[in-house]
Amino acid sequence: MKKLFLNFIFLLLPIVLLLYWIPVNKRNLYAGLTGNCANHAIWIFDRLHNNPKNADIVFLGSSHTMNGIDDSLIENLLKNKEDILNMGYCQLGVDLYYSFLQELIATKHPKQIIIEVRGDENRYRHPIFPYLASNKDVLTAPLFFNPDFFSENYEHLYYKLETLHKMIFKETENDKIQIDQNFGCRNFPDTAVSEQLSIAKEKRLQHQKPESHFATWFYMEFPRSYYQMIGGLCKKNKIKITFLYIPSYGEPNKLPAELLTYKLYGNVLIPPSSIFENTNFWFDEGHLNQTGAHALSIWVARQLGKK
Amino acid sequence: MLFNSLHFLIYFFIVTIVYFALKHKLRWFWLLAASCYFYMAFVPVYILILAFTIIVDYFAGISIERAAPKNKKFFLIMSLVANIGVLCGFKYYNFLNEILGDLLGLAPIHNPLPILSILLPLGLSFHTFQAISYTIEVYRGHQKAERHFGIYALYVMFYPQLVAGPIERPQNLLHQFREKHQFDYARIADGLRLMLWGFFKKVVIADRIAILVNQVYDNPSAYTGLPLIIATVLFAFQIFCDFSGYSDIAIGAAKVMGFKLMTNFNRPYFAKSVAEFWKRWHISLSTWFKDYLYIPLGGNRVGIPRWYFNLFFVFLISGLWHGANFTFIAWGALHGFYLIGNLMLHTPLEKFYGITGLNKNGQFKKALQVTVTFALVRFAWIFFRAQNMHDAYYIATNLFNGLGSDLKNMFSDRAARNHILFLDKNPAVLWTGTGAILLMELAHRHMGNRSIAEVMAAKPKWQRWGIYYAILLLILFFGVFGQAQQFIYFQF
Repeated sequence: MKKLFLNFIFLLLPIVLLLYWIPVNKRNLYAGLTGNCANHAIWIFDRLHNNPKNADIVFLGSSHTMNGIDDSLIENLLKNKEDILNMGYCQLGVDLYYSFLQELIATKHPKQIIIEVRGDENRYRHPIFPYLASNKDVLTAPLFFNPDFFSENYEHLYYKLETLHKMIFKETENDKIQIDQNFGCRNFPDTAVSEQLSIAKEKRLQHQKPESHFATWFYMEFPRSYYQMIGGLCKKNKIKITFLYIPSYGEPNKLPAELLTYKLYGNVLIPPSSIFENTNFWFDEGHLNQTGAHALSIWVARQLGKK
Repeated sequence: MLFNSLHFLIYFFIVTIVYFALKHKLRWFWLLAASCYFYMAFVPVYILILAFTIIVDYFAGISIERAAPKNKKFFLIMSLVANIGVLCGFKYYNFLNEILGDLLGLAPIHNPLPILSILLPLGLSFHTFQAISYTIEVYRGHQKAERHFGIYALYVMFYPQLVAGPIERPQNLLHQFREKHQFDYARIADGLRLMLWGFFKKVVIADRIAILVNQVYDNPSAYTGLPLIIATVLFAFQIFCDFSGYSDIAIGAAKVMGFKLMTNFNRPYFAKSVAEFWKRWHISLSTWFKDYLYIPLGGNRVGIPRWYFNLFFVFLISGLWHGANFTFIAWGALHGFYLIGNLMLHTPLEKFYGITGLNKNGQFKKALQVTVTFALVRFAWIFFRAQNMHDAYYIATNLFNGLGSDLKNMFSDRAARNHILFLDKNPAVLWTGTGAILLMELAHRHMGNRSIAEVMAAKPKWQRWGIYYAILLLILFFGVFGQAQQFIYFQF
């Protein structure tokens, strides 16, 4: 059995190494996520690589950021002194922010990044991290409490292979370069039904369970290690880090649970609760509508203006 | 669980490792549990159908053996009714009901029977035939009834061949479950090589050219002439690579654990006649029909008209076995006609070969026979692949429509070439598919009548490893992944 096992390793190892090495066009990796998050990945790629507009202050976050931060409005309010970019992408995962940040540094040299935080820190990876991250990022992802480490590597290689197939058989989508849109904010004018918001708030309160210190430490090691890497990268490139609290409607925590972690790396902006408690500001229980985004963006612009 | 999925690779690895780690007396149980899991990965509840036929056939086998000679037939019929009843109920009910509805509609009378929305249990035709072969063999006295229920259940459910064969005989398989299979490096390596070759055929050839075949056969009226010919020729290779690829993986997976399953394919497109084709294609099914239908009908030991009828009837049933659709019946009937034609034309053809001097030129004669046989088989595949008789008729009657202008335009006009030759897909699809077919045929030619194991054993180590890497890289870079493509024969 030993001989068979060794032969297997000798056979498969070079193949796996080769897969890491496959030279895949990065734009095709982003383009392959068509259908995910309103095709926002390819827009982000083109905004960074093909759009000559700078990105001085960049918002990184989830759909809360994507819907809630009107980068065009903030730029206007700051009298166009800074180029503002909303790089929010659906779903949570600080590992993706780290990946985006490297891309950002390589292309736009931002002065400041503003990272979305919530009441509870997300403890898992972002679903699309293995698709867009570099080999190094996937291979060196923290192992501690990262149950997805191996599946992440598998997905990474598989997606690269899939993208290579699309390149060989010319099935890539979104080939057109998108340089006409400067801003990443995507939101909706509709307002949520207040009963729907109340039910969501009630559910949130019911589901909140206190966690032991050990469990918190255990689960938070994963995002904390990424914040540490982001902090190190920003320090090296002289980029200011700010954290912005954008909770869901009815979030019981008035402050982020990981506030102390964030404060190790930068300021934490806590918008007034009047914005998040106003039922007219919500598209659904998780996302601000255009009016809400307007209110939040004005507040954020004022904070940025003060500095 | 499809063979061409990561799920299967993990499953296979775990099942094999545990199989060798267990004591011999526990292995049957492990394989049975693994086979249940394999089957239930598709539609879990259908395991109950399988359980029903297994229980019926298990007791039928014992009853046939114990019964007085005059009563044996009763238990055999009971088993056949149960098996064929399940098969008909799931596979042919709606088909027959639609025919009844059409006939009653002529009267006009309302058909009171409802159309049922039932999903065909995977591999139903395969494991039903395997179960039937057991009771018939016990009835004939060629096989002792299996007393161990678990072993019998494993005979029907053995996962490598559960959903698409090879359809085994109890004499070949049952005793193997009692034998102790040692961990044998050479045998395991042979099994894995066969699996690798099967994956290559399925993922690189069958699934790649399926893109082109589907393009045409899903909308045949958009094409005439050369595209129809190209798609039909490609389908001949698609179905061969799909099914023989499956068989290679099944036989290889069984071999790794020490089980020897019967050969299912022997380079069928090199057959010199349609009769020979059926000795090389889906051998386990052809021999099943020969042993359990053709010979009981009288075979060729009857008058000529009856002999022809026997042949035609067997192929008609073979067509129906493949699917509840008139296209499959037409396909079977066409092969029946081919075989009868083959018999009727045998003497005139021999005279023709003598007059033209072809008998003296063996290679040319063989090439001509192989080409004609392939053309006939390929023409029949039109009915097998078409979605309905209307499409099949359209394709069969438009194969040469506009062929001349197609050939002319193909070289002069790029847009026309894309439509005619590349079937509106990227040229890389056709080049990859045909390149891989060429590679496979060269490998077949190199192998001759030797098995992969024999060929590989004769090669130095560096060549063997070079071939492994080449096949693995071809699978990785040119295979079709993503949503795993189902095997064509799974639907039967």
